Amino acid sequence: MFMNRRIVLVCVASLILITAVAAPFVYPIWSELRRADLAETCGAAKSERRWNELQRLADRWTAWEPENGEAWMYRGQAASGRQDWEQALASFWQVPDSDPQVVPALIEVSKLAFTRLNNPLKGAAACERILQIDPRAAGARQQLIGFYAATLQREKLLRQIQQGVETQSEPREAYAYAFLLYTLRSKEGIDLNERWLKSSPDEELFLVASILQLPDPKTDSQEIDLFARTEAEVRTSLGPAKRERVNQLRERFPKNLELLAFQAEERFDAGDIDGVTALLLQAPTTAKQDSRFWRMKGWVHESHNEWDDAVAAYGEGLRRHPVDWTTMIRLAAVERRRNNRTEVERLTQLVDRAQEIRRKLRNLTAAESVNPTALIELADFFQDCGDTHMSQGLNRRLGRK
Amino acid sequence: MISTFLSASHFRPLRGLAMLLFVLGCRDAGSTTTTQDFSHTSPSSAVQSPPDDSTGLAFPALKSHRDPHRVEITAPTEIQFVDVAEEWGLQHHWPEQPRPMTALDAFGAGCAAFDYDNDGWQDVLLVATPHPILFHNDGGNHFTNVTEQSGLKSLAGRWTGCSIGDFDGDGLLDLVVTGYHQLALWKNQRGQQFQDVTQAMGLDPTNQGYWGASSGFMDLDGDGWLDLVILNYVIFGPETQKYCEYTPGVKSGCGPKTYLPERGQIWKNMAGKSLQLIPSEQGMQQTHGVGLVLAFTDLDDDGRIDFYIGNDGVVADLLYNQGTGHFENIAAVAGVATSDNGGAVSAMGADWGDFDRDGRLDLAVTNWFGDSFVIFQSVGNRLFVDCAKRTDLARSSKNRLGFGAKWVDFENDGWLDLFFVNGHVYDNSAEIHGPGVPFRQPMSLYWNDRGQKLIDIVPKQRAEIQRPMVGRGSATVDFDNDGRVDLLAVDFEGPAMLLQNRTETTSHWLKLDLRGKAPNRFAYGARLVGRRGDQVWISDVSPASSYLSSSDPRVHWGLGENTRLDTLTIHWPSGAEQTLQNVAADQILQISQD
Repeated sequence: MFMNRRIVLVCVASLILITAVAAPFVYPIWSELRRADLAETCGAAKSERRWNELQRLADRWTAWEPENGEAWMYRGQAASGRQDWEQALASFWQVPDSDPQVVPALIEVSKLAFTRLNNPLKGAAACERILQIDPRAAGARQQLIGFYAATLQREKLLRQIQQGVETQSEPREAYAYAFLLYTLRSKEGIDLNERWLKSSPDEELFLVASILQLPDPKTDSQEIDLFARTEAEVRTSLGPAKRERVNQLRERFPKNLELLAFQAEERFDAGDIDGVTALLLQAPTTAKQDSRFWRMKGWVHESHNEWDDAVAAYGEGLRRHPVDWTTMIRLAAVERRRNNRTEVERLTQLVDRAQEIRRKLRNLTAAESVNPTALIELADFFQDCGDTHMSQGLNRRLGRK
Repeated sequence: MISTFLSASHFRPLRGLAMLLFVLGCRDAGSTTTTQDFSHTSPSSAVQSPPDDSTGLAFPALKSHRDPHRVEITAPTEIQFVDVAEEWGLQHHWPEQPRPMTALDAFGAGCAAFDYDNDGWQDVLLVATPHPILFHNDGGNHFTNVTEQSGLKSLAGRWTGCSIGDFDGDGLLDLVVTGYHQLALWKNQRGQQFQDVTQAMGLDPTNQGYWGASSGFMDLDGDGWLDLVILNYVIFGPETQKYCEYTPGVKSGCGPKTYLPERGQIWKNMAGKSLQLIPSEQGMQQTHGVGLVLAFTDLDDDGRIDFYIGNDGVVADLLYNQGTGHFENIAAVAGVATSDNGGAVSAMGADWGDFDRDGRLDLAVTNWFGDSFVIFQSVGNRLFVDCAKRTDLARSSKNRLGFGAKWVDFENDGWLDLFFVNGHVYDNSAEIHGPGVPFRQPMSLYWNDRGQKLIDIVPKQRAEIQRPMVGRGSATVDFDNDGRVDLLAVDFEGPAMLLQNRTETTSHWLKLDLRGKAPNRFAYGARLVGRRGDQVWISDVSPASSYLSSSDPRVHWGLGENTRLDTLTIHWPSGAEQTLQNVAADQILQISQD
């Protein structure tokens, strides 16, 4: 009896010992076999569009190997096959950055987020992740730039453009965005934000952008496109209801820079020095990166005949956005008062060129209508305004030295 | 590998903004892969975060100049105008235009104040269809319609604007009337009748198919003979679009950019015998077309007359006279091409006047509803800055669509006030833009607070002055020669308005009626400078301004408390200079060139 028990114990101990010794050698083999088996069965299920089975297998696989990107990919594909888009997005998102499948997975995330799920914030986040992994990913860059433009996130937009130029992954329209940075507005921008608001009705970004992208009623007609009125003109022509909406949003989002800039520019249009001053005094530190606020500050100084301070403020604005022709207009006004005709002539020439380029860009609606001369003009304009980064980038794309 | 996935077919970017739709014609960026940093990015980073430092402020040191003890300035209440048009027999009612109005229907008409029979009383011409209407001033309190006997009925047409000048140097003021594909030059016959000399003088009665707008006489080449500038608007006709849809189902006349622009023309006066077209290369080619208003002045005291052209919705022009028969467009550098936000001004009306009394003429320009009227303040050296905001005109004029514009000293305090007539161009503007944008709008009377602020005093006027109108042309004139300037206005769907100035004031005034040497007998282009101590008055003899209109050519100055001027200097168009000493106030002083 005791003999048998000892034998059993010895056997168990031996087994444990053997297992302990062999496990490090055997487990990987086993894991690999299991992974291969799962991959094969998942692959088969996928190819035969057996989505429920694929889901079950992928669930098991991700539970077993939560760091396995392939498992998450299959899970995402299974969810997609079952049209469970939320789960598909969540699964693709789980593919770790270290996995070679991460970029395709994130592309899926972006596609789902921007289209079926109407969750552009997630889509933008996916694009940001892609660009962290591959800064030359042109598609993600283009998507993100479009998103930042539509949501009027100007600082981020400019940063994306600059990084794109650095990595030679800038989309074609980047230069136009950089040029039109503070005058972005379109019917399509409104439509996009309104669509996004349906799934995120309280999202500040979309609420603000959908209002600020609203043009004058004239814009919707043939009239306004032809008039090509400036932002300020359009803004002042806004109906009282829209202005009221901006005021309401400002109460709700008091730190929103776009709303603050809008109100300050409205006060500027009305010549309300005290109003602009009061709004500038509320501006958060981030406003210092925004040339519009420097322009407002310059105007306050200008209105008090503080010419040097005005010139300094306009200079700061132009340092941040060298092609900001609106600031050039103001600077030229001060230089007229200082009787600095040479500088007035230089600035006036730049403003004229900017308006001409702007007109050409606005009139473009299709690739075939692009006038290469306008692009060359834009490149030269960046150069002459001191933005060599952008001019070099555009010249590169134009094949110019 | 990754680049394959990121190709456009796999990765559909946002269609984005309208501006995004175009595709820049340059090669695609390369997208080769360099897998580097594998760190995750939080989804929330795509959201523009509020500033981290909630207490941090960008410009905490910015000084607020707000004066808590500031006293609101109120305009004087004694300035009063009364519409005496009907009472004085100046009766004309412009009929209602078709609905919806086309651009042509909405264009309006001008008016003129001038003394056609040299009896010392300013008569009135109202531009109308099918013919202009002439009223004789019977002595300062009554007008008689003399159209029938004047000969002005002889040409029927769709007339718009007018200008006055003695083109043949006979000492009688002649008349140009512009119209839609029409033009007429009427020679004044003995102060009794007008004879159509359009073709005889080399002009085309169809205006070469152009849509004529404002016009003006001025000696541009210094030969003494008055040349003629005619602005033209756009190409509009049966083949062009009549209406634009502004909101679904709501149509009205189209804006100017729907049509091809037409440029103005300069006609050189060949010794009163004919008018010869100046090649456009000498100046007009540099302009933008779509011209509505012109206003002459001498920008730099070089004795050569320059002129501003206000265009509709496109940048304005300022033609600088180079003295060789050529003009250079200096509007952009001068600072009058756009308002101070860089936007083109829909410049319907314009007029020069020294509103801040610094001895330099400033330019007032009207604008579109929602955009402010503009004052281009001269800072010397042919440079101007828009001071509408400083003077509060920007804020207070936003809710007006302005046409005729005239500087005028309402109460003779020496500071030029502003007279605007207003009215929208869409008869259904409230449907298009909302109830806050009416078709008919009150005129504006801006009282000038010592060159600092402009305050609209219309709310303090009688009901007849406050009534909404379809304002178009306007003119300033002292009909009763009482030393207070009256106002003439066109309500294009209403009666003519003659606003008699009944301001009770003890301020003094001086009216200067120049008589130059032939052929420029009315001294068009003369510059007058008055001085009293360190005070200065400056004006040009230049009646063409406002909108499609011409004003009393006599120069009127309010002198305030001054009973005399120390000096009055006249820079005659010929280049001669004449200075008068101790000029007494409160008189109409006719001065003949030495």
